[in-house]
Amino acid sequence: MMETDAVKLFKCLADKSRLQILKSLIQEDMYVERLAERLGLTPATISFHLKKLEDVKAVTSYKEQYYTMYSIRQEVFMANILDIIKEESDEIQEQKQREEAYRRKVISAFFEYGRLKSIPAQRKKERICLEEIAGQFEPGRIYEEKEINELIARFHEDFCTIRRDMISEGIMARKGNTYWKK
Amino acid sequence: MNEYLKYLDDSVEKLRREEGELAATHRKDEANLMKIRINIYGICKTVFEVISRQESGEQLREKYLAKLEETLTNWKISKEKAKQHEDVEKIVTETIKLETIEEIKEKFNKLWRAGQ
Repeated sequence: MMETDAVKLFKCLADKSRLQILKSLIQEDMYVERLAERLGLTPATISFHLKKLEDVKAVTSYKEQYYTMYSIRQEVFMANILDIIKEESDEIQEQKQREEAYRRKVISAFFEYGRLKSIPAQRKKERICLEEIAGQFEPGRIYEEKEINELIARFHEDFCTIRRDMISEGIMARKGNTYWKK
Repeated sequence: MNEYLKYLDDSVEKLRREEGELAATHRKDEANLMKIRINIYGICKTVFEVISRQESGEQLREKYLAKLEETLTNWKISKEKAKQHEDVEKIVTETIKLETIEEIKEKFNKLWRAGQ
């Protein structure tokens, strides 16, 4: 298990309700309402915890008739804690992960369901958002200005500012009325 | 409507105790969900105090309920959006917000009727 995965798993398990859910699921697979009844929590709260447990791959779900059943992924808990501790940390890898985590944080703060909520004032954050939008452009393809505007407008109505900033940030290049991703 | 303000304050106090208990028993996420409920009571109190400085009687009731209704509608839209995107965490928080504001609205109506 990677160090970051282990940290996420331990953080997720450091919650009494989630441990109680796992204790129930170790006995048998269950659906949300049954877990809610057993643990005296609302179905919404159970769903919230199950989502967190699913994110760290501690539980998995499957459909059975009308119900979504949840089961514990025992193999995750077979990992030896000593092996995790002995694993060497890779600083470069960790740095990349930190950068990626920061990127995800910025994207989740400024994007909602695929739309840019506002253009960040901070240059570093704006660049991340511009790169995210530029991810939609095909490398090597030459775009007309109209096409570029339409693509950017899917993310934000102020496509002119975004287009101009993409050029000044060196994410896109321009010649006349044509644009391409660098 | 001092009784209504007292209800809001008492509820916040009760929820704060519950939040503390949840945090103390290693249920931090549920404690955070409780904080959302506490915030809704705070918002409703602020809105009520602002409107009651400008209006009184029936106008106060109508304007306040209209504001609660407007908030409810926005949160319902937000919940629907979260459902469409299967955003479980947001569905849960929006559900809590809606349940709380419905509770508050119901209590306000009850206390208002009793005061007439």
